[in-house]
Amino acid sequence: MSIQVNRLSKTFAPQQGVVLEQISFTVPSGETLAVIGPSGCGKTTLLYILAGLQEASSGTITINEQAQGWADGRSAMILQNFGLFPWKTVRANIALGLKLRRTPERVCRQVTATLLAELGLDGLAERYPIQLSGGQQQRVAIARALATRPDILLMDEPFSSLDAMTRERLQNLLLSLWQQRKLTYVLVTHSVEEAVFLGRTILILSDRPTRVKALIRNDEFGLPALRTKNCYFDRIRQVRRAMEV
Amino acid sequence: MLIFSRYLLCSALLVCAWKAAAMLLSSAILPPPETALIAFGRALKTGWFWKHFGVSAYRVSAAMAVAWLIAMPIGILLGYYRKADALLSPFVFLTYPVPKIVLLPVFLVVFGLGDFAKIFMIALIIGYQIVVAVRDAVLGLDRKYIDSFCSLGGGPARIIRHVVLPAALPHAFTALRIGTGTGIAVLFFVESFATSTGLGFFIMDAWGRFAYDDMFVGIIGMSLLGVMLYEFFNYLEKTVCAWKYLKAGRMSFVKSENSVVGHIRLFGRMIKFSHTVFALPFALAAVVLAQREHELTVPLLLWILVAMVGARSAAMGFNRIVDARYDGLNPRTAQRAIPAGALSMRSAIVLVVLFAAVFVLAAAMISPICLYLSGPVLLVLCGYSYTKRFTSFSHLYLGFAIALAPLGAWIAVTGGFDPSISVLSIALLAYIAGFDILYACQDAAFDRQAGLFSIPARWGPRVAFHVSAGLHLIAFICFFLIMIFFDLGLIYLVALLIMGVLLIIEHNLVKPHDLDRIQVAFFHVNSAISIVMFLGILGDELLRRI
Ligand SMILES: Nc1ncnc2c1ncn2[C@@H]1O[C@H](COP(=O)(O)OP(=O)(O)O)[C@@H](O)[C@H]1O
Ligand SMILES: [Mg+2]
Repeated sequence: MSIQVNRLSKTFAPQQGVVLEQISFTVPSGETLAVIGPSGCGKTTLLYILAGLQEASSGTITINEQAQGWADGRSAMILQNFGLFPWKTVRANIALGLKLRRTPERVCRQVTATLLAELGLDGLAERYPIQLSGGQQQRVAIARALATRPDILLMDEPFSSLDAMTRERLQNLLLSLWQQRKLTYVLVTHSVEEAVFLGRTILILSDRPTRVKALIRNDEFGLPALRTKNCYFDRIRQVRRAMEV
Repeated sequence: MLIFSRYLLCSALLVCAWKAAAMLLSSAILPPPETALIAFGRALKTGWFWKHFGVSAYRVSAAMAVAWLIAMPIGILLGYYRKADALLSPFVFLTYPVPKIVLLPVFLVVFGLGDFAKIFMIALIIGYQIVVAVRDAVLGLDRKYIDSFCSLGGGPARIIRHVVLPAALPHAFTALRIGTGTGIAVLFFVESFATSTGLGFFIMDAWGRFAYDDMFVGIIGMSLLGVMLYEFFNYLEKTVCAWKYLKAGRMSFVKSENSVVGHIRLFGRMIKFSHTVFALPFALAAVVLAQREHELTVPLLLWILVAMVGARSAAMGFNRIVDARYDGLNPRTAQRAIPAGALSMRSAIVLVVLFAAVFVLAAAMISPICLYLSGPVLLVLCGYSYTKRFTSFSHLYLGFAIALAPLGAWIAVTGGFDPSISVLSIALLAYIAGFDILYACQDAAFDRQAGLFSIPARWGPRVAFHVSAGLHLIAFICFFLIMIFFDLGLIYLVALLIMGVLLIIEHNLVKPHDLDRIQVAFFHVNSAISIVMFLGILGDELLRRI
């Protein structure tokens, strides 16, 4: 599924000024986009609009050649602080999206079991989110988003609250999920390293009023053991320089 | 358990303070606690106390249930739908501070003097608190949960069930729990006039008669009612909103077993409370047979049941405590509450003492002779725990201990002993010993290793199966003799045949080399046998009366 965003603008209230101004970019099917920008610039807002949870003030979003409407189930979103429901067990959290689509119980159980195993959550199914570590919670959030087999995955700073070790493990996990499932994803981050490791294209946003500052192609994305390669560090330097302009 | 000890401690302190106040005041209006408690104990045996208690309990719990059912949706409506809130909130908050209780005279005139006006009054006052608590909870709902729900494809219709309701529930429960105090206070007020039932009436009436002991019977009763309601809501809250009470990062999922009820539940599981079905029908059968010649009242029947439960729980609990060491070593039993660490030794001991006390109290309530016998009976029951350590015939001792149940029930009703009832006891003895031998086959290897005695451990499963079959034959013969001794008819004969078939099935379900189905044999078939026996006797008795 490809995403095409054309001259997208968002204003919440006129006196607050413009939040997003004339943002345009394209994510081809099966490719990935990392969005990076100063805090408060409107990254979360951009994702909400892509997910159909908020409406753009002007501009168009085309997903697979169709205009995007109200959250229609083709995309799934992982919220900034996971958004897991504390009153539901891990299993119920993961199965919720399927339940809401009236999927038969048997299928729900099957999909949930597969995802629990795939994301290394075996044995945690009956726990409540509060009983999990940050990394485990994040994996539950990923499992929940993947349960409905979305074409597009939207992630809002998914790994920012984790410690460095856990973060790298989960970044690797996301990469392998992308390879296996042929996902198209948009990832918001404030870490340059993460953007270079996880984005085929890196979208750099300016301070408000937010515009596209640079759109960098990251050809090395997905190479094995990228973190140890020189081109990885070159790319990081390039992105940093682009941000400072 | 902690809560429980705290309750005991606080009660003790309260009684001390009461005693001191009574001594200082030395007036009839404040009788010393022991007088009041004795009066209370005596009142427990009377029908009228339970009548007033029951009426009050009904009024306040009905009111709280109604308040909950109506206020919860209103609170959600106000909290979630801006339009409803804008329309209704001013009304709610304008009337919230008005003391609704002043309207009681109006209610009494409009709704009459029956229970409706009283329940309505209490429900109205509690309901307001729930509405406000729920509305605030929903308004304070973190936006991210709503976004998260919508991002999963959820629409506005189902957000209530999946997000708003679960988020508001804990607050609603808290309001209900806190409302208990208010509810009881209002209950007292609405019962203090224009009625002749309920604890409120009872207190005011006793006051009017200068019967201060009685007055305190009512006061203690009302306090107990409050405590019971409070703990009930507490329990509901902890069960329904378990997620709210979990500690972050806790590795094992233990469902609020820190509450009193949680401990009792664990204890109940540990002593296999459900297995009461084996012996209880025998005791009840004895009651049915005994009441032919002697009067049986409802309180007597209740106390017999309480005594049964108390004695059984105390004995089984004692057994698990004494055997905790062996349970922990045996892989089959290592998951039991004490060795697994779910229930502390101290809690278990407290509960055993408590159940023993319940048993003695129930015996005392039945008759003096039962009270005198209760001590020796407890000793016999607890003695079983040690027999495994020195004799292979511990199975027979277990049967003997349990066989005291129908005997005790008979003495409770008739006040004396009759040789013919001992046939029922012998039947029970043989029946229990027979299946305990089968059950012990599972542990034969372990017992041998641990130096414990049992027939399978000493002579092997094949011999054990023969002994068991022999015992069950004896049981069956005794079941037959009962029919003659007590002059039972056709219905019992049918039951007898069914029991025979069930015994044969039981012995065919398990084989010395194949114990897989022992749980089935043990639980379903055994409970079926004892229940069929009881139904046979009961049916026969009913037929005789027609
Ligand atoms: N619902 C809203 N109403 C009004 N202003 C909003 C709303 N959501 C976000 N904003 C404003 O839009 C700007 C961008 O917010 P956000 O997208 O959360 O930034 P980022 O995720 O990049 O940190 C902020 O200044 C924020 O105050
Ligand atoms: Mg953000």
